[in-house]
Amino acid sequence: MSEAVVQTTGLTRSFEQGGVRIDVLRGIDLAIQAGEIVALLGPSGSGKSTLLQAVGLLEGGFGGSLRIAGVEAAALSADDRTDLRRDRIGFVYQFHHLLPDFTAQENVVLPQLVAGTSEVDAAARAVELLTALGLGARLDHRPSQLSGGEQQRVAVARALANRPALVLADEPTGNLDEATSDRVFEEFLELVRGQNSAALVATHNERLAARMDRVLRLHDGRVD
Amino acid sequence: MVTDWRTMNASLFEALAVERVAMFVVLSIIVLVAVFNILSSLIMLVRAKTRDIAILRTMGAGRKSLLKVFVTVGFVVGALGTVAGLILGAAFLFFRQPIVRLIEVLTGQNLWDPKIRFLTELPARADPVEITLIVIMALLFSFLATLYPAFKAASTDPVQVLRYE
Repeated sequence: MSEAVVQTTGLTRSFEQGGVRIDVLRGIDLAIQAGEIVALLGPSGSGKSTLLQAVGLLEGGFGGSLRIAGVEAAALSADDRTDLRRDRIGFVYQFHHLLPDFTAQENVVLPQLVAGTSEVDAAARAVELLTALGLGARLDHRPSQLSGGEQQRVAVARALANRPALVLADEPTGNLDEATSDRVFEEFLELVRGQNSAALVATHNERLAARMDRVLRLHDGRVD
Repeated sequence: MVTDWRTMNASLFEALAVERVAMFVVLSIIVLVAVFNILSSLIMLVRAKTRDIAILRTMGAGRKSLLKVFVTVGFVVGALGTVAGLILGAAFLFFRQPIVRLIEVLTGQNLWDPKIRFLTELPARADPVEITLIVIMALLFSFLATLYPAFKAASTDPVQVLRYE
């Protein structure tokens, strides 16, 4: 069996607030293989976002072992973590977080330019993804000219633009109505499966979780 | 006893030398004000773009890249200002006599009376060394002004910014 895209062993994360130590993650063991889509369920405050941030290498300071695409992240410097994030990880947030001054296409081109892809290739990939998501006619529209569902589709395209080994999504359709949420989520699953990425999706929605390959339940900083 | 005209007008030449230093200080302060304008504009830009910077960080944009972006923005503004100032200064110098005449027409006063000044035209001497020094000083100050906002942008913590969105 090939090495997991994400492998954590005894992953911990604590914060100091007002002199009080708060243990948010208390030893998480998980492994996600390429092509596997895993739901992360848990009540608010259970540590879902913190786990995504740790696995997404957005912050250091965690304990235990965290391997991303075969690289031990705990030993990396902040700059090396940034490089690994750029090359291997894509993010989808609950709120699209698109750059408002850029068009849909430019928003999808940007992460590719950051990763060193040529402008021509990046533009072609952006058109391919946005067309697959039904936004072929909205390439030159800015986020403010798009509906909530369309904005979230652009965010999905942006996350997948660099063909990341790992996609992390924090309530990716939590801001949409049920029908739009279903549609966008289906498109998200299709694209992630299509490029054989691993995905970890934090959600409160049991119905969406049931459509994924596996469900992890996080409670009080531990996987049940 | 032989005395030349410089010795006879020693106090006048001393005053001119003092005026020269004072003008340099005044002009330096003007450059400094312009630099503070660049500094404050960049600080405002970084504040306005904090969310965008955080998003770029999540995409994998490194601290050095962001540092380069904001240093480049500030330095280009400073360089454009310096070039514009240079062109404007050269134009003023070249057209100084028509400008003096224009002011005389507008104010109705005689600004340059050759009978008093012993010179028919406003004299000027452009010293290439002085001009080069001023340009270098303006560019250096512009560069220094970019450092604080650029470091501020580069140290944006995407987790903190996006958490409170």
